[in-house]
This record gives sequence, C-alpha cells and structure tokens, in this order.
Amino acid sequence: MIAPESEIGGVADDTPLAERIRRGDRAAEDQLIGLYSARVLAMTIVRIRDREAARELVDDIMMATVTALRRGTVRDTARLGAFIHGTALNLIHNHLRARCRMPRTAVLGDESLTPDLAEACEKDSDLQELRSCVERLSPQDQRVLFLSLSEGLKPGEIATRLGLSADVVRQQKSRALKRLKEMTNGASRVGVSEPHSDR
Amino acid sequence: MNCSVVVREEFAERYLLGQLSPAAQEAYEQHYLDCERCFGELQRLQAIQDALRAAPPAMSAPKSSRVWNPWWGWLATGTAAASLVAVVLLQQSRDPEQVAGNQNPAAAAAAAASSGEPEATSGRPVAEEAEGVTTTAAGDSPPESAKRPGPVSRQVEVLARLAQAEPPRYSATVLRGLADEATLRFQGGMKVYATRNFRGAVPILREAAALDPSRPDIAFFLGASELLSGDTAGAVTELRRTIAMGDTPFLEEAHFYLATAYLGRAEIQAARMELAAAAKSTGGAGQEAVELLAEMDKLDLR
Repeated sequence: MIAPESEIGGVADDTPLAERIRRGDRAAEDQLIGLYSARVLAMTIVRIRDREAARELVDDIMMATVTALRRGTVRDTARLGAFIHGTALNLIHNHLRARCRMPRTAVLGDESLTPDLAEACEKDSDLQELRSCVERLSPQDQRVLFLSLSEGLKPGEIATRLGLSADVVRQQKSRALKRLKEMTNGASRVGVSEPHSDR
Repeated sequence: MNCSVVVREEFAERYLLGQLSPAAQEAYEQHYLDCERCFGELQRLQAIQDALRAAPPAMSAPKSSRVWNPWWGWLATGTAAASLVAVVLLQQSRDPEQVAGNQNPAAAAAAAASSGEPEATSGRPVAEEAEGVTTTAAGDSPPESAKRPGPVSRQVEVLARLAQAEPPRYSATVLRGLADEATLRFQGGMKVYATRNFRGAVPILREAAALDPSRPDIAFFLGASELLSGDTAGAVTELRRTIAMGDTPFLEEAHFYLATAYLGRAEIQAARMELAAAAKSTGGAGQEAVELLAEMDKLDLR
C-alpha cells in the first residue's frame, strides 16, 4: 500500500529559506542550490537532450532563481519548486530559440553558482557501480529491462520478442528493479532517497 | 499530482522515454522538484537507463539470422549506397569474374537477385546459409555446392530492396498566421533534411521535438533522420514515440521505418512485428511491408 504524500515526503515550506536568501545569507543560497540543482539538471537533460548544454543551462536557471530571491521579487516563497520550474521552462525555451538562431557559444557569467555541478549530480562512481549491478543481473533480466526502460516497449511487446507471457515480463521487470534497488541500497545517487523534509 | 499517482502510472519511466503529454510532463516536473522520494526514483531509473544504454545486453537472435548480422550492420548506416557497395564488394571478393564489367552496383544486385542465377551473386556455401555459421575463410575457393541455386540471391534482393528504401517524403505545409517556435524549428530542420543531410537535420529536429513533444510529424522525421544517419537507437525511440501518439498520418510509415531500424539491429522478430503493423495500411508503406514480409518468409528470416 502506498502511503499518502504527506507521510512519505510532503512538500516543505520554503519561506524561511527564501527569507534567508533575501537577507543575503550565502549558506542559504548554497542550500537552495544543493536542494534543486540536480532536479533542474534532470529536467533540463530530458527537455533539451544535450547533457553538456544542460549543465551550462542549470547554472543560468539557478542564478536567475537566486537573483530573484535576493531582490525579493518571488511572490510565493512557500513553493520555490514551482518558481524554479517556471524559470527553468523559460530559460530552456529561450535556450532552444537562441541555439537555432546563432552558432552556439559558451556564455557563462563570472559568478558560477555551481562549478562542480556535474560532479555533484552525476557521480561517475555511482554510475559505474550501477553498471556493475546491472551486469550482475541475469541476461534475461537485462533484456527485459533494456527493452522496457531503453526501448520503451510495453510488456506485451517484450513478451512477443522474448517468447514469454506479458505477466512473466511484468514479474521479471519488477523483480529485476527490486534486485537492483537492493544491490545499490545506500548509494547516494541510486539508492533509496530520504523524504524531502530536511530543510 | 501526488506520489501515489506517480508510482501507479509509472510517470518516471514514461517521462524518461518521452511518452508523457506536455501537460503531464509539466505536472510531473513540478511534483518531483518538491518531492525527494519521487526524484530519487527518477534518478535511479535514469541511471539504470544510462547503464543499459551504455552496455546493451545481447538479444537472442533467431538462428537463421546469425549469418546476416554484418549485413544488417551495414543497413544501420541507412545509406543505400553503402549497403549496395557492400553487396557488390562481397560479390567481387567471392567471384570477381561474374561481376566484372557491371558498371551499376544497384543493377548488379537487383539483376543478380532476380535472375535466379545465384552463382552471380555470392559464393557463399549453401551449408553455411543453412546453419548460419561462417565456415569459408576469405579467399578460399567456394565448394561446388555454392553453385547450386539457393536462397542467397533472394536474401541479396531483400537486402538491396531495404537498402534502396528512400527517405520518407516531406511536403512543406504553408500555414496562415504566425508559426510557433517548434514549427519554425521543424521547418528549418526539414530544409536540411531536403538536402539529404540527415545527420545535420537531427539536432535541429531534436530542438523542435523538445519545444513540442506532442507533434507526430516532428517525432517521425526526427526518427527517420536518426535512422538515415545511422543512429538506430535514437530512431527506435522516436519512431516508437510517433507510434505511441496513435492514429496520426505518420503511423504506418513509422511502423515501416521502425522495422528498418530493427533490421539494422538484427532484431528480426521485432522488424516482422512492425512490418505486420505497417502491412495493415493500404498506402505505399503497407504494400512495401507486405512484399518485405513475403520475402522474409521465403528466406525463413524469423
């Protein structure tokens, strides 16, 4: 049974954090960046499908957010996620428009808020660990996961490809994901996350 | 949106695969920006997806297709010329006298394939075809059994036909009023596509797809461009996304080109499924799919 949202990670009120940033607290800015930059990066990668450009863009998004908070121009400070999402969408769309009009150049301000973002968000060691875990799965489990998570096939389609029933495919996929979760339990990137209540 | 819906509806997986509607995509993003648990699950799935794509597992191929893997590998380039050159080079390496003087590679492949004279198309031993195992070293003289009529000529024909598959046609639509950003990007990408610079069209069409993921025309031509520039994984993703959009004008062609992408990956069963779906159409793609399926049946490519 799935617990209600409030029990497994309800949305925290960001107002105190926003107020600290407005007062010029640099530690609060770092906290905001720590909380959101990885999420914004994930979103940006999915939307522009260019990992390198996404990393640069996240800097701009977080900079725009912090600047607005410093100036006190954010209206709903209780839900900074919504503000960051809107800011990110605007900058992503601007980026896509600009990219199609002119040759791409790297334009970063002097003040880079997240110089080590790539390392913070995508630890190679974690990915390596996950790869080794995936390799330890049975070949059949790997095939089911690949066809499902990489190729986007539905269980019925995978079943036809592999000569199984759709129910068996669902079971294998579920078991394989569970097994991966057990194998990677405790890793910072791939493990089970803590509820969002540590602000 | 809440966590229960995210889990039940498999939002994370569908998000990574580009299968959410724009509205659902935004709602899910807003949710995981504030939800550590759901973002953790998204990261985990993204990492698994990365790991699987970095080292794709071997797919068990049908026995009869093993001999074809290098050929389908050529098809993955999506260029007719390269594939046909490969056909002819192989012919020449096997029996140079038979093809000497033939100035037209396409004609050589097609004529040889349709003439019923297999000795002009390949010296591959029949036993090798039957078992799917290469037993004749390069430069070895083919045994007499290679002179017998066999399925090789028909296989070459299938290969030639696939290799000759033209890029899907595109007719620009003149729109009244101000075109949106995605349309402008799409039109820009298709100008590049029209010059047959498919590799050059891909990044522009990707931008268009990012601006409007719900457009089947963008997804389809992005998939086709990826296929024609040799990125079969990208092609599979985009063509499947096109198909997932349902009954659009690109549905049948998406099935057909997806089949071609699968053939490029030596995934015969998947290719057959897509060809079967395309064959239901009464258009050109449907007819081509029917013919290809028939040829694959004859060759027992299953």
